[in-house]
Amino acid sequence: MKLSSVLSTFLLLLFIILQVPVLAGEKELPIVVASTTQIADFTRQIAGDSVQVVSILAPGADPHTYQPTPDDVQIVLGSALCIENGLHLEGKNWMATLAKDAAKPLVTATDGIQPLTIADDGETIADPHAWFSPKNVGVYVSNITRALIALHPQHTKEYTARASLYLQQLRVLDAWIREQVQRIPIQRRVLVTTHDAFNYFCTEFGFNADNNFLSIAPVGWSTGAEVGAGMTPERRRKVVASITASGAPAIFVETTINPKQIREIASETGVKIGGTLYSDSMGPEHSAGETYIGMMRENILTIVTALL
Amino acid sequence: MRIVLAALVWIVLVGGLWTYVQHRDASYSTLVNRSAPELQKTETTYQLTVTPTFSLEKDPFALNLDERSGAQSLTIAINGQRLSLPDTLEQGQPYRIDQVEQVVYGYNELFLQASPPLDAANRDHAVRITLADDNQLILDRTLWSHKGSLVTGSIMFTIAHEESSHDH
Repeated sequence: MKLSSVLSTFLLLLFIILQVPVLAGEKELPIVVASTTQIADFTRQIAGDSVQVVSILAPGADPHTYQPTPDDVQIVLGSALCIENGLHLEGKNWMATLAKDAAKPLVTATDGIQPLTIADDGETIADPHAWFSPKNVGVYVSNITRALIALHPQHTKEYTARASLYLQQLRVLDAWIREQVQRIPIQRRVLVTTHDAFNYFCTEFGFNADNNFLSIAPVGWSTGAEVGAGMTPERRRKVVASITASGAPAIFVETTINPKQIREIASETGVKIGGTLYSDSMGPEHSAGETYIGMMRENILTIVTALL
Repeated sequence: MRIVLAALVWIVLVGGLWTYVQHRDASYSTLVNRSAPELQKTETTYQLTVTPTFSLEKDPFALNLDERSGAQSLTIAINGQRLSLPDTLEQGQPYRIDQVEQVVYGYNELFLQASPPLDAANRDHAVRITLADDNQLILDRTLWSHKGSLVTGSIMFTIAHEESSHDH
């Protein structure tokens, strides 16, 4: 048998096989685009297999400084819905711009949250890292559920049921965190990280009492160029002074930020690095922090182990 | 000639598959229409009393889909029908609902879900439920939760036409 005949037959069979899903009436799932890995996780928990959820940011990427690529534009163009964190987490509002340019509906997951505000140089800025309080994630879940129901009203019952289950998981997470954290005496409950991402966490769970239960970090609320962002000499001095005065047993690096600055401060103050925390992004696939609950769980275990 | 043959084979195979897919579900169009048996409401009205070991307050982990529904921290339903409840209850204070009309003859199910306040999440919590008519106590149960979780449970009870009843 000639090679060309064999090849022709093989290609024919392959072509037939590839037609089967189309003939079986399988339709492609609508795409929901999330700006961050956390929002993508919340959306998957609610939507199940009814949509394809795509996160613009990969695990470990920094939302404050991210610049969309042509591939991102194509993904958004093919989407049915876009979801952003909001509160300027997405530096220069890149997610809103992507959605607007593609004329796609955009949902802000933090709508309705009472944001913590940061005062800097006479300006008041809303802290965008709201997901660090599981109670706020309840608001994210409600907003995302509403958006999915508007997209697919026929799946209202499933979305509502999944959201209710996930909210109960968040409730248990919140209680578990409090149980773990209360093992650390208040005086030792000092959390120093690379950037100001943990204000909601500190306020909710009683860290940094001497700093009004706010983050202690050399880099501001954003790693980008916004007001109040970046590291300044004044901020660095304040962090070193806080570490020295509080006797903090450890400080922490973050997965999305270069650890150089925090390591220098650790060396200067004689404090150990307590571990790496997930902050602006969850972990990669198959890691312990690949979901929001996993991320918070691992962060708590790292913090409690280092500070006890 | 070979190309024509290949095209014919494709048409036969793919066409046959398409025809099969289009008609395979035709046999399911004549499903038997089954309707649930009609439930008969009792002539008696009942009183439901709820006593929590915690004060109810707005639940941050309740699903909030519209401004009207709010974030309720207590849900009670009898046979799938939710009862109208206040947003807050005081710790240890019984709350009584008169004129409970959702009870039917035969099997009944009472469902309760309550969310303890987050700052009391390090303790176990409970809600006591009693259901009574003018003559007797129909059920008296306490539902418990472990730290941080909801107080939730379903209670089955039956009402006979002779009005002798017991809970499960």
